Amino acid sequence: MIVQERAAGTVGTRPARRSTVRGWLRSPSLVVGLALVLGVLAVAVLAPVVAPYNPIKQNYGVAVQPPSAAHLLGTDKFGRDQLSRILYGTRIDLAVGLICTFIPLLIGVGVGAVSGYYGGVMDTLFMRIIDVQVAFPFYVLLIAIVAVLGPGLINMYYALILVGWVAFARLIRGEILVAKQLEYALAARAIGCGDARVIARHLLPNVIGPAVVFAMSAVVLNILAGASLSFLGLGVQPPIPEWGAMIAESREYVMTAWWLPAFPGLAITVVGIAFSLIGDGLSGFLRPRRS
Amino acid sequence: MNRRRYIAGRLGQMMVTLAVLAVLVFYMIRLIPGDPAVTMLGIQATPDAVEQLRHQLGLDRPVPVQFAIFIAGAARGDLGESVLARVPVASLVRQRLPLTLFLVTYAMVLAALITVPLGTAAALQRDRPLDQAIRGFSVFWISTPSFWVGILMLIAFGVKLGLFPVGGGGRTFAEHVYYLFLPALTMGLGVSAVLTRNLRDSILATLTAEHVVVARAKGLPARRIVTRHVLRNAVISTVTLLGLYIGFLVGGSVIIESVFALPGMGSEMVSAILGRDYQVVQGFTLVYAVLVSVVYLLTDVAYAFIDPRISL
Amino acid sequence: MLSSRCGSPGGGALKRRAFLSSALAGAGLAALGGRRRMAVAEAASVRRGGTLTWAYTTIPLRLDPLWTQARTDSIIISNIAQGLVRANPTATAVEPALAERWSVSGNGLTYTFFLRGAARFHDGRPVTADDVIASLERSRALGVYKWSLADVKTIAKLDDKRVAIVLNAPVASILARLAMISNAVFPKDQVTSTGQRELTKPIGTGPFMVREWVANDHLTLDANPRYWEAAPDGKPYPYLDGVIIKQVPEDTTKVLQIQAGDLGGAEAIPFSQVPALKRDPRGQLLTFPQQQVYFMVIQLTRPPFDDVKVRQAMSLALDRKVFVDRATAGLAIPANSFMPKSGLYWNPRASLPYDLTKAKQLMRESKYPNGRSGITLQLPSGSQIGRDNAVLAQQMWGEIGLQVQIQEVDGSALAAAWYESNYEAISGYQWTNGMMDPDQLVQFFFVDPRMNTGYQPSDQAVRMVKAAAEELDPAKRRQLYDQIQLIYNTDVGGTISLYYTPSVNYLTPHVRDFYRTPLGVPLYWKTWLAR
Repeated sequence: MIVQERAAGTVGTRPARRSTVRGWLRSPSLVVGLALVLGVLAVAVLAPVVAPYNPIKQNYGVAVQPPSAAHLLGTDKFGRDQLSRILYGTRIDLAVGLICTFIPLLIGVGVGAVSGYYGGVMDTLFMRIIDVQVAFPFYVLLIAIVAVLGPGLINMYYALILVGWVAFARLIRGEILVAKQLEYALAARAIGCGDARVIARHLLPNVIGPAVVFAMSAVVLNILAGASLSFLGLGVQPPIPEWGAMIAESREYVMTAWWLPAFPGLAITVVGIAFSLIGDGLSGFLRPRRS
Repeated sequence: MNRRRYIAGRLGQMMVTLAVLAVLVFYMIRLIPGDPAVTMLGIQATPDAVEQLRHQLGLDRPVPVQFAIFIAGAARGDLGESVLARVPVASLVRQRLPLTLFLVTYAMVLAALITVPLGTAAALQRDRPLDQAIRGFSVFWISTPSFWVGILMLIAFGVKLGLFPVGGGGRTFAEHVYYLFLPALTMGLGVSAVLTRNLRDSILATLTAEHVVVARAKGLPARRIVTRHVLRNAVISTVTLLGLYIGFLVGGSVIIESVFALPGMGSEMVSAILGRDYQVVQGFTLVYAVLVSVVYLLTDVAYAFIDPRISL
Repeated sequence: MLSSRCGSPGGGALKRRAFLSSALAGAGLAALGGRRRMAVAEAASVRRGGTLTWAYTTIPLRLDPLWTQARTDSIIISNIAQGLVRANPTATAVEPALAERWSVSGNGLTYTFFLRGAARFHDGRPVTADDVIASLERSRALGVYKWSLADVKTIAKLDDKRVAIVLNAPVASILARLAMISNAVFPKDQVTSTGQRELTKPIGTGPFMVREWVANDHLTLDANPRYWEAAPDGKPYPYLDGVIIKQVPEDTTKVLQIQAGDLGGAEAIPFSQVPALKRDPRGQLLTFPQQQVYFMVIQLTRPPFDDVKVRQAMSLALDRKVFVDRATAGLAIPANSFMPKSGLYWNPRASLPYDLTKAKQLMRESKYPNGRSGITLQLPSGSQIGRDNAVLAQQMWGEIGLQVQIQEVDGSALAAAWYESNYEAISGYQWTNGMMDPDQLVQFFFVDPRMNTGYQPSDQAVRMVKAAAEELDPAKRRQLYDQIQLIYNTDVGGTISLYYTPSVNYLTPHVRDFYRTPLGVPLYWKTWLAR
């Protein structure tokens, strides 16, 4: 009910937005989520300071050791300290998760909004591009892009961005199709608001919710997609520490050295939880109106 | 009724999509460095052996000629012959497609069975312990690599408890249901994690919508409000996501197929592209594209039925 | 490939084998290490019947031995087809197969083979001289192994059961060449009708026949009831009713399927799992030595590899014991030569030591005293062993001032780069003997320019290689090969050998008398199931 009141007051008025910001801070999951993400970000920045060891330095004397006081998360087959590798890995994985989610989100929102709002030729064109893109098998596309561009982090970004925007565009377009015929949108147009203003002020705030919430999941999905590329050996190049590659490399240790696949997996889960909490918190405010 | 015309129009668009895709995949795979003849001959490849093999495989013909042959064949339903396996691509498709379709459908059914009750319950119990628990569940499954889940399932249910076979797909329908349970569950859990969240949010949005508020005010029974008014509207974006996921699953099931030793489309497609088996990549991509396009068509049509407000 | 294989595009598909290790094996296995006693051991309690399901990372793509380069293909075809002779189980000598005996003329140029009366094809027809000639002529004219019969002048029929092979010049390895699976015998009419195309339903003479072959999934083999070779119980081999070869790409899944009883056995178990599996009563772990060597490839035309001192330093800087411990869980053996340890003419006195001090000194004396950075070391993507070797070498070469960047490249792209000599260094490539004689391996390393781009062995070395190929006296031949190995170690040609890898096999407890030869051939016909 609170949401409805807020939404009812949203139609083009500023005070509603201020109350939104205040509301955001009252959501515990949003606060916790943001705190976690900031924490992870801090780890990424401070990795050289907080990591107890050099993440790529091999020390054969202490290879494949379970967690201990000297190596809190154990060591891998080259005797590298896993905690240090995970801390350094934060840099890569957070970047993959964020860049490969938010650039596609922006592209997708733009394309989806224009396409859904105007319809017609523009819509047809975008939808056909999306159809072709979506009809291309995910892995074939990823592998082909990486194979053509060559392996490496930057090319992995390109590949994931190229693949990622489609989901957002489709989501936004679907919501806009519904929302643009609803009373508030019709009303906004009736009082003479321009298209850009209708889209930006009235439609998007009301329909962006599912896309943003999905984006929070997509952060993790992108980290996992990066991991899949690492499985195929087309992601981050060794010996650079990256969580997905660490899991891929520890495949053979699933049954014998649990800490090798478990902790990088846990790191992904923590980042996942952080963004999911943000998504949860935001979803309360960004819910689409259907009335 | 303009629905029929709409569907016809969409079918036409689908053909255009497929044609564009055929051109793209044909040239893209030839853009990747590597050559099937060199790959097949390995390190002892001599120039004359490579030339001989390229001739045998028809790779020495001009690319546009090869393209014409591919298109002419595809139009007749002939996808050519696999360079590596030397069997018609169509027979590879027949061999692998049913299992993948079964697996993906199975995973979708399991995902729906998990998603709808959990998503609804979470929304109706908003912010109460049950909602928190369900959100926790979904966060956990989104963030867990499916490779890992698969192996753990095999160890727990296959080896330790002996409830399910470890890998393989079975032959009959009943065997499929039994053999593919663990892989479908692994897949379904990952999907339902994303969908549950989405459904919960959509339901919450719909619950506050006017027509629902009105229905409540009129004193309609809660169950009827949820099924008739809420779910029907809330399911729209969930169906969109589901559609997106079907595409993702069919093409992206490589890791699941690999872990559960299933001869499906995904692993064949990846090994074909890694081995530069041009015909298989082209053929499988086309088949896949047809499938995905049909699914999208159905999703769009489903929109129209679920939400009559969308004009077609 | 039949004769040998180096580097696989699929990379991850490792092929290994080693010496029999385990005491877990049931009673029947006790004799496995020493093959000679095996027959005695098996006669007592052998049980006939049953089907063995066996997993490989990839199943055969081709069943025509002329056109295959993959190890799995050739070792499976060895269970389906046979030639006049074959390698013995330890791959140290040639033994009779379709020919029950042979004689050699005084000048070493004419070999007369006497065909076995009992030898029949899968369809029941007896093997005749015409079949042998048709098959060998096809192998001489077509396919990847033409070289094996390059010095053959004529193949002539003396009568239905006698064939004479006449050579242009002495070929020391001719019997080993004839033992290669590419020289297997198929019915003349099948050979003729197949012609230049590929044999897809081979009618062989081996202990198993093809029933069903589903590409990239499974290959079902039935026992050949007319197989000529008799088991100790008087009846013919094989003991099994059939073998199903399944494709299971994921190593961990193979292990789990065996522990659950869904598979009878599998090869290519990750080295790191071996210690744990040895202790696990749900399966038996068998390792067999194999003629396989892993190495780093460097291109000698590119700096800094154009300086022999740098190459020597690179070899000295590699601590091969660490490679063995880290990349193969201690199961491999550090290499001392480019020739595989369990193979013929391997030189036990050759050495590839680890000496960092000397390596640094050599670097200082080289054209690149300040080292070099930006060297690209490529590996086939997804190859765990290639990645491990690269990561280890990166640190060790860093110690002598060579800064290496690792780059995973998809296997086909890397194969193309190799073919065009467009690379600096490669990790994860290996050579596996398919022929028991080192002739091919040595030719490839010294004479063939592709293996060692830019490596120019001295004229003397090339002459020794040629002499060794023709020398019929084993003692003299050994001397030549001993020296050739020392020369290669000093020159450091285009490859730096790392270690010799075993074949690791994991089986359910009731599989008995499984054995794999150093060439990788599984003797499925001598394997039996205890229940």
